[in-house]
Amino acid sequence: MNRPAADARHEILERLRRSLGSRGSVSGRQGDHAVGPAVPMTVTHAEGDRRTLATQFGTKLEQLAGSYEIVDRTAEVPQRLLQRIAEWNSEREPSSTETADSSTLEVLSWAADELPVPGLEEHLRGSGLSLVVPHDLHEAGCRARAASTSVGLTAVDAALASTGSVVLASGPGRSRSASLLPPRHIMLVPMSRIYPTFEAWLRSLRGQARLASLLQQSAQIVFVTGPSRSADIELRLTLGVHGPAAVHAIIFDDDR
Amino acid sequence: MRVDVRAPYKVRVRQALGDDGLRIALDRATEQMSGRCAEAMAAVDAPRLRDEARRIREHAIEHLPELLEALERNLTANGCQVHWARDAEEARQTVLNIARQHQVRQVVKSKSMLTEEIRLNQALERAAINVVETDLGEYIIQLAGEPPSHIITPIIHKRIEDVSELLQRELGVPPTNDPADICATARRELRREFLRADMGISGCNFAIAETGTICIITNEGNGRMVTSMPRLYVALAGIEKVVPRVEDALLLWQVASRSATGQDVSVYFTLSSGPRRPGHPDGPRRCSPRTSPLPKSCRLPARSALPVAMPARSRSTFPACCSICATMWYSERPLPCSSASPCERTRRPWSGLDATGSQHAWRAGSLGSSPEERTVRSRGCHRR
Repeated sequence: MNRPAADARHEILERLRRSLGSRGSVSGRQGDHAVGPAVPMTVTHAEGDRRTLATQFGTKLEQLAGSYEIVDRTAEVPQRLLQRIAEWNSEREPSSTETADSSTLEVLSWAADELPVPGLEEHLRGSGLSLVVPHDLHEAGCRARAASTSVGLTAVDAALASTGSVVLASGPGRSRSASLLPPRHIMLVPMSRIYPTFEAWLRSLRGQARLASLLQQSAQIVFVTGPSRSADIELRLTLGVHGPAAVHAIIFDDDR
Repeated sequence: MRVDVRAPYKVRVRQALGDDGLRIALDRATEQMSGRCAEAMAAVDAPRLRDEARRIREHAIEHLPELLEALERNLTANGCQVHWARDAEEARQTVLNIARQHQVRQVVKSKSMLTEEIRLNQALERAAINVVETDLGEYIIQLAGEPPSHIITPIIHKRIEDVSELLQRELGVPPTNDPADICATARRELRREFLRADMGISGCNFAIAETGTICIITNEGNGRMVTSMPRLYVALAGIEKVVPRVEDALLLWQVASRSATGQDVSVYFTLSSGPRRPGHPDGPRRCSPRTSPLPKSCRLPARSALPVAMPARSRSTFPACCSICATMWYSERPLPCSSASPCERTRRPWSGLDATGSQHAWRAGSLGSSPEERTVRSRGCHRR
């Protein structure tokens, strides 16, 4: 039973080659495995100027039980963020599993220099709100603290208008936990990072030869489209199963 | 629920046929799912989308050896260890060895039909390793000690009353008829498991050869937890999951989402390319700079013979097959959505079985059937 493991690889590949070889190439194409078939189609569509795309992104997100607001100037973002958290604090927790703090004082966040709003941290601190930026989630203390926060804050690498999706790449100062552990997630979305579709975003990264390095250096990228959901019980929709039940986008014109 | 899931197949079929509530529940659920999928496919250029999906799969199968080698090369460059397994036994052994080597006691799992097929949980449990399924439906059937009845909604056969009763009995929580309460209970229980687990195990929806990336599709977020919280992450992938490029995975993801649940895309699509890099706050880590790096292992494959046994068509276990093919086998209704075109081409051989009773028998049969039985049927769907 204990066959040498090293043989498995050889045996599997040999078997595949034999079978494929004896059957011949189905389509007649040969040797183009690195290229792959033609560039895939664009599945969903969106077009227009940055404002139009921002609205479409937000509308899509709203249809998926997320929420959004569009802010004219970058400088207004901190105030809007505080307002959003204050509103949430006055509501009931979206998931009854979290201890119902009377108010959120700590936000599980990406590092300040990863957030596209200058001076955000100082502004929040002035209002009694501190950013918790985890350094190592494998450390028990760090993990426990991260797990007890009720709001997460991140930027986005890209937002896609046609589906209401965002791309989050992990990295130093960019924890996966901030968009995953707390029951509520706020995303800061500069208009300059909104693309019409997945395919437009892919084309842009390919064009700059950055796609492979983004995936590999990030260790993980995740596409997030609305709040965590399940329909496992009688196909009835429930939000916030493991990820956040509330996802809110603050979209702002970063040219202003 | 009058079906004894441990009874022999024919007995289960008989019991299920006598259960009107079950039949109605399944009819409603599958109708609803088909409707959503049909809408989602109608919203896009479906013929072209299917065609492109099929071309990607065909291409991958034609170039399987080269793509697998490229995948292995890039996974290794990303700091992953790649294992190859000829069969289920070898696959189970590989995972067990990894678990032992790293003194793993607690495992959290994201839903994976491949691990169902190879009965991985049972093997881990025999080795005194605690395995917790973290998809809401899978968690519930694990508590019930049953196998899943559908690949995307594993408890499609259970009413909320059944679930509530189960949770009362197993966890001592108060009765409820609100799915949100059940969801909150599962969130609380499973959050603890995620935070203390030593190892995460997932399947693989697509493996991208050019970047050495494992992609998984989830709506709940358990896939993100499993690939991010434990120090060790193991992905199990059938060899047919490999695709050449990132663009291919994104196209297939959109097809899968529309076909499975009628969403434009799933809530989460997680692309993992190895352990966390220096300075990253979370993600599976290198165990020690001195030992060989093994933060993530990709086992390839459990079913090496499968793709070549196929007529060079895309094998796909997209969930629409579960909801739709059964209907297609016995009716003349057009396929409302397509996860892969082979379904359309191959449905004729089944049209001989047209008795209404058989339709229900199929559905009944999918309940609590063994993974082997399910596999036979889902493969049959693509057989010429």
